[in-house]
Amino acid sequence: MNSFTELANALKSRKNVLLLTGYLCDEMELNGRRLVDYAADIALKLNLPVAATGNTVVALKERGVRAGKKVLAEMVNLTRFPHWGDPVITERPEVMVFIGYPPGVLKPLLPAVKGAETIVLGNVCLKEATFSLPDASLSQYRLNLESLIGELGGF
Amino acid sequence: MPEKKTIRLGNSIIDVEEVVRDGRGIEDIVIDAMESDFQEARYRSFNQKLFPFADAADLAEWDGFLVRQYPPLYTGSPGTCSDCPRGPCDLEAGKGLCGLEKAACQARLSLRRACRGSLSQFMDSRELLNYAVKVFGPEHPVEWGKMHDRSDASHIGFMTAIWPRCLADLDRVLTYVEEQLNKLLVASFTGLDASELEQMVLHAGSVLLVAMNVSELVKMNCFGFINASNEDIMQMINWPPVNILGGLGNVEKEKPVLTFLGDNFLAAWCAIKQLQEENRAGQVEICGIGPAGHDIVRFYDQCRVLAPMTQARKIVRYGISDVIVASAACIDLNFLPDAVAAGTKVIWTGREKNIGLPDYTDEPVAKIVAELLTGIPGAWIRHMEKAAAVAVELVQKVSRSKEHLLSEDAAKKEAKRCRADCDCCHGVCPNGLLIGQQLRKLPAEGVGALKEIEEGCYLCGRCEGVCPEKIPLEDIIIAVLNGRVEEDKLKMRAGRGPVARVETTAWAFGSMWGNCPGIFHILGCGDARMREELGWIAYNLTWRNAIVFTAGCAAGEIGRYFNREKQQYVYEQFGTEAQVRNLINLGSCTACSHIVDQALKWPRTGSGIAHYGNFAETADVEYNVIAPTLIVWGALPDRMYALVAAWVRAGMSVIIGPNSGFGWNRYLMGNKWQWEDWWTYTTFGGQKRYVEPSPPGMIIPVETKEEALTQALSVAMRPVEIRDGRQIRLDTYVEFSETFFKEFPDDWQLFVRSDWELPLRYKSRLLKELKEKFGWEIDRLRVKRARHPDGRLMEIGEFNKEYSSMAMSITRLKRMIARGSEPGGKEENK
Repeated sequence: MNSFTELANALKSRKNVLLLTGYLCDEMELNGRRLVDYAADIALKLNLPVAATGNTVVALKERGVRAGKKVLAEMVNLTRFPHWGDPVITERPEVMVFIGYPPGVLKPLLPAVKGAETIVLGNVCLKEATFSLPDASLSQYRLNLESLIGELGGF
Repeated sequence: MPEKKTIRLGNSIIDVEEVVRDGRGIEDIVIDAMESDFQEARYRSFNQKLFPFADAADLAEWDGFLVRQYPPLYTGSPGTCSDCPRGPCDLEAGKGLCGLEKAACQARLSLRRACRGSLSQFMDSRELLNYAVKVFGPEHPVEWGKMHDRSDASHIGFMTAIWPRCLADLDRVLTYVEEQLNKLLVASFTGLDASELEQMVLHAGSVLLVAMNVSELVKMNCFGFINASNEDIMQMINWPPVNILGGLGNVEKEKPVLTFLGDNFLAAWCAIKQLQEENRAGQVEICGIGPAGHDIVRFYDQCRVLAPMTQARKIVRYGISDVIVASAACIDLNFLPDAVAAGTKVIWTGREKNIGLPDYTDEPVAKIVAELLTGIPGAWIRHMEKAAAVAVELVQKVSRSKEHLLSEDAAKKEAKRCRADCDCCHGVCPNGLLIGQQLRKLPAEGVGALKEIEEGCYLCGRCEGVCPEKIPLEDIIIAVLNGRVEEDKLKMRAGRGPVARVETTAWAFGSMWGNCPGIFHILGCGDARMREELGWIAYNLTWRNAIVFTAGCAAGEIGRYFNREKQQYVYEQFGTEAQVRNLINLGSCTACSHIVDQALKWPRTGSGIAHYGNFAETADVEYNVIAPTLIVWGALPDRMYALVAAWVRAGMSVIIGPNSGFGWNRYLMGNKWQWEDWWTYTTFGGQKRYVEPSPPGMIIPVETKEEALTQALSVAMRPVEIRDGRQIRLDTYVEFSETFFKEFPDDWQLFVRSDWELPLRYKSRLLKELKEKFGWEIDRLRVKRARHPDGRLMEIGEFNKEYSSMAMSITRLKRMIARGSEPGGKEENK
């Protein structure tokens, strides 16, 4: 995927997309706006279920997102079993989208995801993912997220 | 024909060979162990096997269960294997030339990591024992303490069946550890079976605890370490007192400061003895970093515990010490340049390697001191008494300046060079700290802008390495630390040593039937993002009536937690008896072995299981009935990896975090939503019985302290626990989830066996959910019909008969099905 348009189209066209939100969503601010606001925009625009890890479920629900409290490693763990079962999404996800995780946390987990594509919306490019946003400063990262959200269209 | 060895136990004559596969050469140990604590009733009922001097394979039945129930989740990717001259082999493309598959390669790396962790402790235990034998002689007696008797479990007993009486016995024990670690290390380069290799990881953990047991016995019996087992049990509520001060803010800087760093406390013992003999102890400030600090306070309560080992570089770089006496530890840190920068003289005592210092081992004390005063940064001295003598003399003569610290103005000037279009530092920070973002605020706000960054930084140095502007980030972090030094304080109890079975018996009822959410263990290596998180975790469990044990560097970090409302440190708020609502520090890193050993004592109390050479049977009961949860907050060193394996093998689940927990690359987790995966054998009858997924995982990494607490409760529930225990654990699990996440946990219903177990304060809401969300039939405040995981709606009585195993006798070990009671057996249905 070479552009935010392609990424947005890919996300819109896929079934069973699961968004996972990590603790940095609560801690990172991009020009005065919290990362959780960007995550909520993405979830709401795509009507995605959210596996909210860390403590992010509270802020996401306040923003009207369909989120459930989950543990990151449990979500990755479930992908390797034949039976999915977790109520956050009724069927096994085809795509898992990660936002709000430091690279040190996410990088080792990505190769362990089985049977799903992985998209990382962070400011460090992780080659272990199926697709990852490029390396960026925080100010460029904000622009990247805004571009993506803009391409996702209206609510 | 050799004489047949038998022992009489009650009315039974037991042939030793029936119980021990090959007792040749160790008959004395086996007979001693069986005569002292083997239980006739269990022998008659079960096919008991003892494994003195156990190999990993001897415990494969139990380990195999754990690895099957919680198949390792490997993260990271090994890529290629270069373990043999035929390599490298690309394992992403298929098997290696030797047949090695990717999972097995990951298991090899897992085992290697566990071996590294265990070996670092073993080296220290061996050095300590060798020194003790030299000074006190091999016949010097050792004992656990006056309150301990033969029924008190220890890992020495579990793994070797030895009841140690003298230092020579401990030498035999360490020889066993050495042999086991050698075998495991070899297997970590040659093993091909992932499951078998992971079972060996568990074994590496167990032998690590044996080595720790040895160290503890030597420390208490030769070097005057305090031991609760020798004290009056009625005084335990406040023994030892909360009188240990630590942190940089408690150091009397006008005195010469002598700091001991690392695993080895021997130089400190010699130095303090010398200072006391010369009536000069009050003239020198003694400090400790890492295990040394927590050891010293067990024989010298004026020592200041400064920080965990992972924070050692920061403390050294800050430069509070005039002289540092250092040895190897759980983590290898290149702190010499920091000491040089701070003008601190270093005496390295490690025997296994040098750190780049001239070898002065054979030089006279006066010459070493003179040369250290005239320029050389440090000396390598592999002789404890001499190292101590040099340190004592040197510390009173050396003078340093604080000019190495960056001023606030200089820090501001450096920070102005930070580019808004970069943030490379954030990308490489192992704790994900937003360094650049905060650094750019420094010119306007001062060093306080980096307060939280400094808290979460352990000076790994990666940020400085990638900074394109070459900003001296480490110096800036130290400048921030300099600004808060006076607030850097902790207050704690010294470690009290082992817990005798008589003391654990006292809390058995409180923990199972009372209003106690469980027994929790807290460890941590100091690399967590926020300084007070360990104390917060300890406080939140203890005041909810949990029994909380800690040891190692976590014990000091917990002591930083200060209740501003009550103006008390956390240790001042709670007692230290092994009892409900108490916070108990057992000692330094090696005292972790006491934590596991005390946890494994109750199967002897509750089920009459002797522990000598009998680990699997004990762990099986522990796992099924009531197992404490370990929270590891800060999990960087390899030693923690091996320690956690020991906990898991003992049937206890482990929650690890925050960021360093995700670097472990191997977790043990089941699928709680796949109900058919969760079953057990009934001990009497041997039938397969489905149970709730408790615990759903054995090693689970989490991101935040709130997740850690909540997950700790989710794995605290066990299938056999009785109604009261389940109720209070469910209550606390739901409470944590509601408090932190504003919703019920997603899996609470999996642990409900009857409405009696629903916590009263949530009962009506939980019943409503059971009815509306999960299809149970509810009649007012009672469950009328429950939903079996297979979908059937069943009368609650039938549900209980068929599913779960409250207060039943169950086992995961086929050989522990009662003799003759298996289907078709002669005792069936009795």
